[in-house]
Amino acid sequence: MKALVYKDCQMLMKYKTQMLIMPIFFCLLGLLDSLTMFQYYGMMIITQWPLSLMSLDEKCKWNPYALTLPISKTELVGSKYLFSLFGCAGYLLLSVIVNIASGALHGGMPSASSIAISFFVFCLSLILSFVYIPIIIRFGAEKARYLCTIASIVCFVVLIPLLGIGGVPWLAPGDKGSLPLLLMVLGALLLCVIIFFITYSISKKQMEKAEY
Amino acid sequence: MINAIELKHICKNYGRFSLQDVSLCVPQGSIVGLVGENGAGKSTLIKMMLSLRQADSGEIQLFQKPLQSLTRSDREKIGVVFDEGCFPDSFTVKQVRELMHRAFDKAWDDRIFSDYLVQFALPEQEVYSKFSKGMKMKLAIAVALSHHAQILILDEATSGLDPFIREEIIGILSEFTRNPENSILISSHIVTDLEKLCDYIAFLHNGRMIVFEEKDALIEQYGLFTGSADEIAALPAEAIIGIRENKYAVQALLARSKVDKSIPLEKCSLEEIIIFLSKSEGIA
Repeated sequence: MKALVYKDCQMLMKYKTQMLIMPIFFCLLGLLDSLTMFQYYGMMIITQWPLSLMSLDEKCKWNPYALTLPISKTELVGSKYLFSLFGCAGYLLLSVIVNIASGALHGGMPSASSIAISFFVFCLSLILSFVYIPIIIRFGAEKARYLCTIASIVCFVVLIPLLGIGGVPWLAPGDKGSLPLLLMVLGALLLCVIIFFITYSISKKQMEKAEY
Repeated sequence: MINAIELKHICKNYGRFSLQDVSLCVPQGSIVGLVGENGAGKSTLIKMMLSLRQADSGEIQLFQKPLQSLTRSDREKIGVVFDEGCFPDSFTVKQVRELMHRAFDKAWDDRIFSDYLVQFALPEQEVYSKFSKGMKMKLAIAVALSHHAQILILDEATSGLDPFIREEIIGILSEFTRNPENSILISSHIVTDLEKLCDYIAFLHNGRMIVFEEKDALIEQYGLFTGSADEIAALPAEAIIGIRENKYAVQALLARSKVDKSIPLEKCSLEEIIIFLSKSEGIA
């Protein structure tokens, strides 16, 4: 697994402008009081990491070669989930720090809702990343781009209103929406865990059946 | 005799193409050449040995164990070289070294890898995408030989390489089997390379194993007769494996055991035997 994580980190550094610097830039825009929502654009870029990395893997035919090394199919799948988790978690941490810094710069601490919303978006991004992975394994990176776009749209259209009925949380961090914030966050976290187990199981089965 | 690799009655159906009852073994300490035309099924067979594809039926064993029973330690002893580069284009040799070190852990021998880098003159800081095909192949071979592998599997590894590099690689592969525990399976359609290197030849045609024989014994089995059409017609029909005509003469490949010893037969190359055999199987 550490070899796979090393490879993905090195490839991330190679394409750091698109995959790393842009999301950080968007996150840092949150330091400007009126541009908090741009943080969430950065998180959306991070959800594309599995697609980008697996596309690069396909280009160099890495997977069939990797499976001739002492690397199992489970590790091959697991590394993508791990990388997504680290990416989203790292961005969440940065996002919370930016929120706190923004609060300090513009007076007062950030509201609990803004931090909760950051966490909610973190869960959403993780869910999207997790959903992408079995799609990419099944259809390949290029075909998966279209399906992943559809998955993103469905997620935004269905899930966000569902968990924030009566308001659009990230545009107005002070608003509570119609559901208590804690319930919203816990619901997102629970959904995240459920989606992880479902998609991980599907991904493993897809990888077992895959032929190269 | 211990077999490093053993395939028994492998079948796989893809619709328009199928592997039919293919059996093959690589005795420990030997080099087996898998030869066949493009599309014969060589890569499919090799991928099955590496669990990259599943056979419909049959049995595959490496180190005398079924594939599903191989441990991590067993898999560390398998070195693989494919015909195409498979490292990320953006990686340098140094990064490949780090990657393999993490993949193989204690099995990785950095000193051996460094020695091969020097021998192959591969620059550590150069990006993989800038390597020529020969350099990519040398890097893949250096990696495959740097974790104390006991089985080396090469799939068309010398295709597209110039004769000088192929000669160098053949020398290295020969050196590898000086250790009696080491074995090689190499697939190629460049029969001349296999003739220099291999102990056994397996000829795969259209998904079927036509011949699996010791190389020297295979060459000794056949002889080439050159004469007129009438002279060929006078030969025992059961001895004639194949006939080749040009405007000057007719040549026939004959099974030595089925003709009189008084008939003068020339020694023929492995490549000629394979071509005649394939013609007798009706592919040309």
